[in-house]
Amino acid sequence: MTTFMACPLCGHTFNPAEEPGCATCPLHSGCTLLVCCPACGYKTVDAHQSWLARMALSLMPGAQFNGGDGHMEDRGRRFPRFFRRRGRHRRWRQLMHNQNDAGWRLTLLDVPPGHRVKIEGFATHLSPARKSQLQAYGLVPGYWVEVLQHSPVTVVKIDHSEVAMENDLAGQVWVAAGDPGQVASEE
Amino acid sequence: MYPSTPAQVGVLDGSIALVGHPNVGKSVIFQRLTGQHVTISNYPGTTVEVTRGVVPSLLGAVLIDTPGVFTFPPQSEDELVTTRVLLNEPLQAVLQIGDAKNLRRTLLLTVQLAEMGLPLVLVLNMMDEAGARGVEVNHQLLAEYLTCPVVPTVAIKGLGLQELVEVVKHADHPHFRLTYPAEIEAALAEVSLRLPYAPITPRALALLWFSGDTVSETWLKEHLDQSQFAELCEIRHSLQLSFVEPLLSVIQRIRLDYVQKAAKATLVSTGADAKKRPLDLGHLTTHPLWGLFFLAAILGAILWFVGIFGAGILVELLEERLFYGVINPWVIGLVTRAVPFPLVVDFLVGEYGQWTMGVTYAFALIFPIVTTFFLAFGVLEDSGYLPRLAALSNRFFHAMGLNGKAVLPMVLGLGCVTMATLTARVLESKRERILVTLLLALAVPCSAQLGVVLGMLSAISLQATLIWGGVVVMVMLVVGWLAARLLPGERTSLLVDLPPLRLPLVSNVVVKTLARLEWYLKEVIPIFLIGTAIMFGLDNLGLLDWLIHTGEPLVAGWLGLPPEASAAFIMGFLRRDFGASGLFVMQSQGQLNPVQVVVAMTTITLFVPCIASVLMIAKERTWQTAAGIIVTIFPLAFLVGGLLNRLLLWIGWGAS
Repeated sequence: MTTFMACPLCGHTFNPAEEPGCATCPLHSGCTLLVCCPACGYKTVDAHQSWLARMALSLMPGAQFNGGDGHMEDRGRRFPRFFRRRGRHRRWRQLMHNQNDAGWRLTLLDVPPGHRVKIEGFATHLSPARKSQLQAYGLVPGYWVEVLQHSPVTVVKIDHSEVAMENDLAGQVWVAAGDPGQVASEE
Repeated sequence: MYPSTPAQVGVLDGSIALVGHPNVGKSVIFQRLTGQHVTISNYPGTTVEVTRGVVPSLLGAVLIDTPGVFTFPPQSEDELVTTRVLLNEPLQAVLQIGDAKNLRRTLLLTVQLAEMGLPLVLVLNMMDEAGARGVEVNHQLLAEYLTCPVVPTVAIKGLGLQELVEVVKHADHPHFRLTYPAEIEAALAEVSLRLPYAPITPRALALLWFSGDTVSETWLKEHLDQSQFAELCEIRHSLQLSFVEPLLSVIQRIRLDYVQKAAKATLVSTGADAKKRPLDLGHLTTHPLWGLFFLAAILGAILWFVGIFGAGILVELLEERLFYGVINPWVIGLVTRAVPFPLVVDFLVGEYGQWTMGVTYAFALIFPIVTTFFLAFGVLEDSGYLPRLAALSNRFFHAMGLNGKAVLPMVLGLGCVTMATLTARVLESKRERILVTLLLALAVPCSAQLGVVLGMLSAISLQATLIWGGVVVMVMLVVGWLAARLLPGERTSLLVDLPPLRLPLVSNVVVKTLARLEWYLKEVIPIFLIGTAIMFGLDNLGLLDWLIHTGEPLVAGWLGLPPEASAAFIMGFLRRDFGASGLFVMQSQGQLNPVQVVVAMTTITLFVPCIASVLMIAKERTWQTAAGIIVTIFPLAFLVGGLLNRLLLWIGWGAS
């Protein structure tokens, strides 16, 4: 697990997913919102788990979970958690459309806004003309792009330009998650 | 620097083409170089606008502003035109306008243009924006990489343009050559021998054709006989067999590798580590929620400017005061006194007279609307907001088999359907253009009609307005959904570049509007005169009365309206708001009950648009398409109207 939070009472840093402090509670099953600090037992809320909180955040562009709600962000290591949530939809989609040609691939659609990734390639069923068009817009294997948003469409930043594409199309661009520290050395 | 054997200055034959990505300042450079003398016309055989102008500082050479292109082979119908210009026009030079801050993207196009062998100049525009973002390019070194001159400019401030003119005068053929895999090189050598003379190098032409380009394929078919073309196809086919990947991908990769190498060497600083700029307006316009507020505000502003200021205040001034008040009585008097034949008098100034209907409509009614419309459109076009609007509304149009780019004609249709039909050309495929044209003709009421319709419905109740609006939107969605499934071809998913929002250059908007108005005067007004003549003929032969009489059973029986209403529907074909006005008079005389008003308004909204827009559809698409659209709309409007009538009577709406 990847997100750590600091207990607002005692300051102990822990991972809410690994420390279900209230596992003994009879109402525990299905309750992911409330967490207990393993050190002092103080009960607090994990805002990452609340769709209401996430929606409110999406209305405040630029705002992020940090400090205030007791989370310590580790941008590089936050990926897999988000992927897991997205992955469910993806696997379903792959089954529905039988697009499972290369197994499970990470695509632009899986990248949470605000992160940089390296383009790896394109889904094999994408037409060559479409591929060359994507490359002309700057989505070239080996280039780094920054994902800005997914709703209503996916917007990515390439060099100093922004390109909007339908989520459908974003799901056909393969990416490699990398260490953001490498960004400086890419050029 | 670059190899330069000076071209003969003074012997300037052929024109200069401006090529580049969309939104890199092509039109600003065009306007700076040409001044005020520009003409906008459709490229032969297409409906895509190409602007031409004379450059005084280049001894009167003609500059051609081509539609923005991202890569070759072209993808949209706009981009096809650019390839056709390169292949068919006698060109003395090509000016590529590029965005300095997006060097790699720019260079991919430059490499392809340089291969074509036409004298090429790369203009790195928007150097100021690049500087602000910390991007620095070593353009002397870049010129060596590309074997063509590179000129940095800030077109909007006029910086670097003097130097550009000097460089263009001496522009020479680039000696640019990329080495492709041995199989491709062998095929290129073989094909080059068999190609007829073309303005671009045989190598580039062959590469373009290997990449699956349709324009070069058509060109080859025109210039070669069947057996020669079949031989070429054979070579391409056996070449493809030596690669697993499509040829286009193989060729593209070699180019991209070179671009990456050149960019790496010439970018002094990429600006990647420049500090992040704070949240800007651009991001808010594509935000799922705030974007909608922006949209509402902008739509409101346009509807006010075109619908109320243009179609209301200006039309009132010109039509009522100037034409009906002053000019027309004078012209009628003059013609009546000077011409002895009553038929000719009638033809000129009668009910369907050339002057009293044709000219009056064209100048008093439509002219102010299109002027405000073109101005609003020009501002929107230059501000960079349109691609963002397309991104925002993509989901809504998805259901109708379209993508977000369709939002533009649909919204503009609320101003004037005739003009909106024209803007359907921004869409990528023919299928999408036809879909949008159909939906515009069917379900989008123009501002003139909207005013009358809303006036009549709000006199009854809010419920009546909601029923009307609900039925119209529903019909649009259902028809769009059905048509999208019936028309052959596939929906293209949205892919657009989002340029930064910019303040439009006033002079650029004004010049563009004037050039478009000239086009309107030359090409649309004759259509009005022909339409008027047709109406005059129908009226004089007694066919108009006959049509009204034949329509009675349909109007009275099926729609449940008074028989007099059929005259309004015939008039509705001439102009939609005329039809609505006829019904408005009937309502105010108490001849229509609420159900009849709702049914009549729904039918006339869905009914065939005015004659001007039918002629425009025929001109933009084909006569077959126009006929097909009318044949679809006519029964559909009456079917929906009749069903609505039955439904409202059945549930007993408005009976109390």
